[in-house]
Amino acid sequence: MFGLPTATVVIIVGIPAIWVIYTLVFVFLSRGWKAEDMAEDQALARTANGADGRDGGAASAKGNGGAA
Amino acid sequence: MNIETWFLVIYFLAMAGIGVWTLKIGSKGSEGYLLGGRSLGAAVTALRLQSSSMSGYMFLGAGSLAYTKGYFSLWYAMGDIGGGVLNLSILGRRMRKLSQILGSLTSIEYLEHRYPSKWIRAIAAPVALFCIFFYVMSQFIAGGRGLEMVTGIPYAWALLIAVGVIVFYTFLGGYLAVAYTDFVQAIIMLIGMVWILIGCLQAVGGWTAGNETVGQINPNLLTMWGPDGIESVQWGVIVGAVLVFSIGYMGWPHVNVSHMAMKRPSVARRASLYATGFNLLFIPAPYIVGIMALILLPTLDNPELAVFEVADTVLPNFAVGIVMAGIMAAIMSTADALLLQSGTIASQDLFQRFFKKDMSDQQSVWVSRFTVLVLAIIGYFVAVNDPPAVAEVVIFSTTVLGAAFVPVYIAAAWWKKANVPGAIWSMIAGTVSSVVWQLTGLVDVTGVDPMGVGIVCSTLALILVSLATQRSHPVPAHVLEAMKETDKIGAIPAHMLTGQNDSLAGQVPKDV
Amino acid sequence: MSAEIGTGRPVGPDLQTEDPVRMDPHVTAAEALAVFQRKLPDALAEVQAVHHPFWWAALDVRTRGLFRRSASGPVQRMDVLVNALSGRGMIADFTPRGATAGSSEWSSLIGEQSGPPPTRDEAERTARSLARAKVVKTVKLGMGIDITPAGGLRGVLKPNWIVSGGNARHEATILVDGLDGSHYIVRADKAGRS
Repeated sequence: MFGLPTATVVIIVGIPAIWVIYTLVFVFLSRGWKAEDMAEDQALARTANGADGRDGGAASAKGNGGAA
Repeated sequence: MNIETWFLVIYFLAMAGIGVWTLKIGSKGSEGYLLGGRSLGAAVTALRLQSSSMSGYMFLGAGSLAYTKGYFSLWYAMGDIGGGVLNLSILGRRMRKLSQILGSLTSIEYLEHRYPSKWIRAIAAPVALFCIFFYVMSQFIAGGRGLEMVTGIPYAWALLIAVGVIVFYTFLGGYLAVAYTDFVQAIIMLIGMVWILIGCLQAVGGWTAGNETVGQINPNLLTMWGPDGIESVQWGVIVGAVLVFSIGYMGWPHVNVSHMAMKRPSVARRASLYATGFNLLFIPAPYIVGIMALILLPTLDNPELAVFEVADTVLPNFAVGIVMAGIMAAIMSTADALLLQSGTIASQDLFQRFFKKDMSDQQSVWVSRFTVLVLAIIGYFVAVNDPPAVAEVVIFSTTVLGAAFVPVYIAAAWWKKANVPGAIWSMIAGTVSSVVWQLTGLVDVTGVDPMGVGIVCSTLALILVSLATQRSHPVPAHVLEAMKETDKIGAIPAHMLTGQNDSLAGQVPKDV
Repeated sequence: MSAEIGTGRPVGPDLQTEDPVRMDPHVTAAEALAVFQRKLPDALAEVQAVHHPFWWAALDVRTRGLFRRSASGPVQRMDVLVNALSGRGMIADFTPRGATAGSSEWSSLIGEQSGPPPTRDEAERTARSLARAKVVKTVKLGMGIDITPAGGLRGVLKPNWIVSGGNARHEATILVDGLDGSHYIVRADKAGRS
């Protein structure tokens, strides 16, 4: 198929298919995470109105890069 | 200057413009600018993850591996496709939450907060710097070669320009600027790569016809076992190839920082969809192009230029210019972010932590800049004199980073018994075993890849040492509390969790 | 030093404080109970007052431009609290006030932790870094910020409430912040399970 030996086709279609399934399963199993979003949004709203600095970071701050 | 070069210049100016614009809008929170204000949504997170891991490797390394080894090189792609979702699903939410509770702002600081001990930083920072240096150098080489090919400037000068632009870009921006330009670049790289692939397949008469032609050159190139056929296949290398870009990826401190910057913990879910989708389209492409290059460019001197040369051959001029610009800019922004990360590691995680505790703001900045310059200079000289292959360097640095850091990052979020001695020995075991395995050439003797060896050693070290020292070095209470907090989704009814103040986790009395 | 609560591990001089401020809760016990009952309707619960040790750094923060020697901007006063057990800092929107407590109470709370707590110097540094991070809003590799302490590092005993109890369906232990009434669920289970 496609001019390629069968083993090759099986691998280069099969393994990505496994990843797609893994992704879908992960998204499905983690659907309960929305609760956390709500909690955070509420906490954020309260922080904006009331006391500041509840989420202060505990460390030094200069020039971090990070990914990209 | 030819058309391609003009496009390059225009593109760089546009990217610089975005960089300056994000500087101006700045950020609002107190943790603000360090992590882009934890404001990155799903699409940006996912694409940043992807573009931060690719760039130079994809355009030079993947193409060269494919040109020389045929479909065997796709084993790397097989791992790579899943790397994003694996990283997001295993580390994403928990690392984001744990880092927020512990108050960590960099991924190495996160390790020290989770495994409280100065030795953690004393080991992690140099290892990370070492690997980042190699990875940056690979981007320098890629940038220099690409620039040379597009503009015709001799390699040494092209490299100097590339390094100069990268360093300038580094001094200009910070995390947020880098985040947004990366997003734009990821889109351009995707479009460009797909365009090259389509053009290439058209030129060889279709995928099937192309495969058949390649098969006539050497039928083994069509198999997944290597150009010498199944008799000489090294299973250990195959396993390593799959592992390195799927699991190894979780050890990159500069990638894991993205998790910490997610807008909300559950961004990981949508980001994983974007990541897998992007990867399916993007990752296999340079490998296929590299293979087909055997037909279009049978006498290629430098296999690393396979993808570039194919682009030059099959695309109309203006398209070549835009795509090349996208590739170059992507390479440069990856290098820039890595350099920025190394500057921070040197100034915060090493210098300020161990030498000058009361280091002022100014001094911190100067240490950062100095580090960036030193790395750039050393990198330039190594890259200009006898540049190693981009693929080799990237795979080596990812291998060491993966072996050293993957177990400690995963255990940080998932295993409550992982303690300081376990983490220390894990990082040491992973680094030493993978480096020694690679440098002493044991790969060829045993057919086992350094990645596999490294991961096994570091994982065993973590487990055995942690269990053996549970009594003498227990995990601190506030860390356990923080971890229990990250467990909580599902265990506690959502209505109770709404409005909870996570930072109180550090104030729970011990006997409660 | 006598240890009133906890394991009573001896506390070294870099962790001691002379006169910690014991704050009174702004949230009453009844209000803490009400928070609990909002999460678990019709619940019966016990409320216990606890204190958590924090280092308090009062800082004066000034910014200056790139090329100026001395700061000329307005002074911003910041009160930064650093959790004395976990090392995590936060900027407070209040200035801690209250009666002076004994240093033994402070020491016993510090001694509870397994694993080394942050020292005074580390806490001071964390407070400064946090203040710096808060002030810097744009990403420039080199902006002048001067931070001077407006008084020495002091200990603060922050009041919290531990509320434990349950209703027909759930049992829970909740920590209620004694100053702003926010809560944190320490543990929650279906009723009847231990």
